Amino acid sequence: MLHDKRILLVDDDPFDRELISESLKDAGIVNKIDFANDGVEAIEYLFERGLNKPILVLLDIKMPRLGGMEVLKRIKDDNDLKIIPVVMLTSSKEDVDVYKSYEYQANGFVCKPVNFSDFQDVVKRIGLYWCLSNETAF
Amino acid sequence: MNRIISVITILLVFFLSNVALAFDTNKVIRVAVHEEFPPYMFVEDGKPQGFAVDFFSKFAERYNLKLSFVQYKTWNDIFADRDKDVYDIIPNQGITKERQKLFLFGNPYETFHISAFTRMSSISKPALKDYVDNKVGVLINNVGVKIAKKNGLNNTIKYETLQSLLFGLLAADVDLIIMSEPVLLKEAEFLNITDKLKITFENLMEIKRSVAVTNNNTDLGDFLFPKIDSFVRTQEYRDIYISWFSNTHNKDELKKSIKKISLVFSSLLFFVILAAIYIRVRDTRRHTAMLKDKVIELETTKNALDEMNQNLESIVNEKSKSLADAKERLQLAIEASSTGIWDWDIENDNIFFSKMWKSILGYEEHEINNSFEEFSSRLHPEDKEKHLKDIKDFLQNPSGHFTKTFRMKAKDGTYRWIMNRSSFQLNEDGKIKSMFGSHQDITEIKEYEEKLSVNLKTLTTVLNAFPEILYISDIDTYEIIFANSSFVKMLESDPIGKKCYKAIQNLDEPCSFCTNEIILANEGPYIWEHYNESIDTHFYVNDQVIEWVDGRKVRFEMAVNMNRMKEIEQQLTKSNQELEKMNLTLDKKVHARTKLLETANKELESFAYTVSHDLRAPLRHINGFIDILKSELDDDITEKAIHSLYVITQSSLKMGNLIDDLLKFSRLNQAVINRIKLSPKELIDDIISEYNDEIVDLGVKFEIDIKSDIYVDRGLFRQVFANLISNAIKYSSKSENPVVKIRTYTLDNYAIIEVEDNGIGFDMQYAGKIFGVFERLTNSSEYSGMGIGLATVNRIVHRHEGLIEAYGELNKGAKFTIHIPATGE
Repeated sequence: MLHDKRILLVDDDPFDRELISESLKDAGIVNKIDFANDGVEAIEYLFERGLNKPILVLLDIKMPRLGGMEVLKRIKDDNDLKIIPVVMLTSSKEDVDVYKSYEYQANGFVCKPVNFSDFQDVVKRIGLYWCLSNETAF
Repeated sequence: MNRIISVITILLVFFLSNVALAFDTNKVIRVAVHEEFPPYMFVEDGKPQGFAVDFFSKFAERYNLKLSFVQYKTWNDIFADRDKDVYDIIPNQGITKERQKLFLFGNPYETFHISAFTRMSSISKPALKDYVDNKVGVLINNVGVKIAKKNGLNNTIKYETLQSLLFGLLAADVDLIIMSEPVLLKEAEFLNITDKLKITFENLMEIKRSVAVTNNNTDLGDFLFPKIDSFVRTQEYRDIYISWFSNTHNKDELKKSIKKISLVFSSLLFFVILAAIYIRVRDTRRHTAMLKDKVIELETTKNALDEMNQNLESIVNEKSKSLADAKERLQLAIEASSTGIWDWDIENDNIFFSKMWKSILGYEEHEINNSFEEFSSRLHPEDKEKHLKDIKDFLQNPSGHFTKTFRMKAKDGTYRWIMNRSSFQLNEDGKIKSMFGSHQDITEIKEYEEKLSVNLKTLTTVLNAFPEILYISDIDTYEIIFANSSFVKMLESDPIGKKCYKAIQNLDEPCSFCTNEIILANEGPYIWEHYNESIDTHFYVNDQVIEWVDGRKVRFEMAVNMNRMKEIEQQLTKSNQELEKMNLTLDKKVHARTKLLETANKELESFAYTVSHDLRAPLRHINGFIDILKSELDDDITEKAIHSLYVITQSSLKMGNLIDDLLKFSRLNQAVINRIKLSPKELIDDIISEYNDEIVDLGVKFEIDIKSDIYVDRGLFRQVFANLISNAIKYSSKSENPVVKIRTYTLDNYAIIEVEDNGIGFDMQYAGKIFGVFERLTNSSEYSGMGIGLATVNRIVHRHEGLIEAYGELNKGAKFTIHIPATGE
């Protein structure tokens, strides 16, 4: 049943999307990954498409149209959605992003490393942690 | 017609009568002068002098009249010449009924008394009539003759001259003399024997004096009298009167005026130079004390002698009144005075010197005999010839008084200054019979005058050298009495005698801002500032009332030219205004610049954010996809391909680090410094352990000497130490025995941190570049690094209000020294 549970990856960078899904696959996580290209698409996906709620949202901070921080706020303000774990992704190592993320009740924060193996490692841990814990939860 | 004729006749008569009365002012008025009637008229140095002479000379000057003087020895001679057209007027004549028949008199301008005098030592009788049994002295042709007769005093001796009358009394030839009070007292004063006389009966008669014009000269009388009436009302006349009838010639007065002069100049000096005042006051005091002692000494002697004299008088009274006795008594009387007396019997060539005369020169009574040689031989060589000639001249043509000053040798070999005053007596042939006179020791006065004149000269020199203005003016008349050179130079003319408001301000009446009233009310100096329009000058003025030599209060002013100061002040104000303007502009500029900087900072912030975010993404992609590529190729991959992929990976990682460092550096300006006290040891150990692998590999040795804690932001100083230590390790990597020395200590309120290595060092000529961003002094292929580390260190140190210095020597090593405030405050 695990594979029915989707992961929503919100990132405007197609290469990043590819590397993240590759890394998740490498980690043996077989959940279906849905993509959203920016915050607007993510909102649409979460609020309007009426699909099953994802078990994990990986949310890039810096995106055109609508940033990740705003999407996070909307999710955590919504009674139905706020239980979904959200892990913030960022390219920068800005402290301010970290503080803000936790202030808006993000469940995790990841700075995307340049080194791919490190990157793989991080993604794998996120995936395993949230997916597995969620599985027990669901 | 008749009326017209009568008017013309009246006018004609009036006109003609006027012409007849008019006195021709071109005519010389001849003035008869008695040679020996001081203080009214007398002859000294061959010239007529005295109150009446001064009076008439000034009078003539005022009305532009011409005068000539005709000298007479006796009143008899004057009266005898009355109708001989030898003289026109007698300038000073007592008005009596007899004389009014002989002369025309104007209104009296002076009144004086006839009094009766006795010796100071004798006992006075109650009334003038009681002297009927005594011999009474009068002057021939004098009103005294009449008064004596009127009072029944028939036993009179009529003397020819005033001096003989006076000596007749002192020598007891007569016991009472009747004479005009001012005339007699003036003569007694001159001979310094005032203290030997007593006015026993005062104001026996009042005599009015006026100018007497010869009877046949009515036009002159009519011309003169109204003018004299108005002249005697002028200040000029009063000044002449005061100069002759107030006692300015006696010794005490001289002392007083000397003292006053020194007082006045002391106060002047006070403003100019303190050192001089010190000398002045010292000298004045010393001398005043000296004079005082002398006066007391004299007083004591005088009292003793007075007493002795009185005793002697009672004894002598009993003796016969022979001339010899009288002479003896005269001598005794004379000895009582501080004045030495001499009496020269020219006919018998015998000269008498009194005891005091001898003692002035330090001799005892018996040491000097009665020869003229005793006098002449003691004259100072420089004075001798002239004085003996003066005596000879006088003997040949005796007239008036003979007053001379000369030096005489005392017993101790020193010279004393002597003031000699003498008179003479003629015999029946009109030849000189005898001379007598007094000697007074004026050495001290002379010396003091000399000293004073030197001091005055010094003072005047000082006052004239004083670069600022000094002047003194009379408070009542506004007349300038004294002006120093600076003042004369400024005015370009001598202002002395001019009104101060005219000379200084070019005004015709006292200045509206005159400070006289203020300084009269003030105790001390009054200081004010003044702008003189007439010479366009600002002054800093110091005004004060001081006592002048003659005792009057005068205005002392010192004025300092402030033009230069004012100029500077104005310049200063102008500069200040300009500065203020500049400041304002600068403020605006700074404000604008700050705004710009704030904007730029914000832009930089977002730029840095974008850079770190967006630049890292492609690197990550490169890295990630190479990894994927590697696993795809798997076994088919060649060695060369593996190497290539490795290089690409490393490069992208390096690029990522660079971006991170840049970002950190750009954030340093915004970072809040949170100083805490910490031991550098802890930080250093932490960093060393981080670089442990390299340290072990390269065999780097650490020598750490921590003597001071530091107050710094922990996070930022971690970066500082990390950068410096990693640099030290990095650049020591090629040394044989790499050693890194780290020291901290306190010096003058600063904590000093030194990090030193023995690596490749650097050339000091590039020391200025070492802290720049991306400045690298080494070949980047040999040493890895981004060239941003030291720039970061520099900025952090600056943010801690400290500074960092780099010292290096190529291939020997480098040393970095950080100075930061020792405490966080």
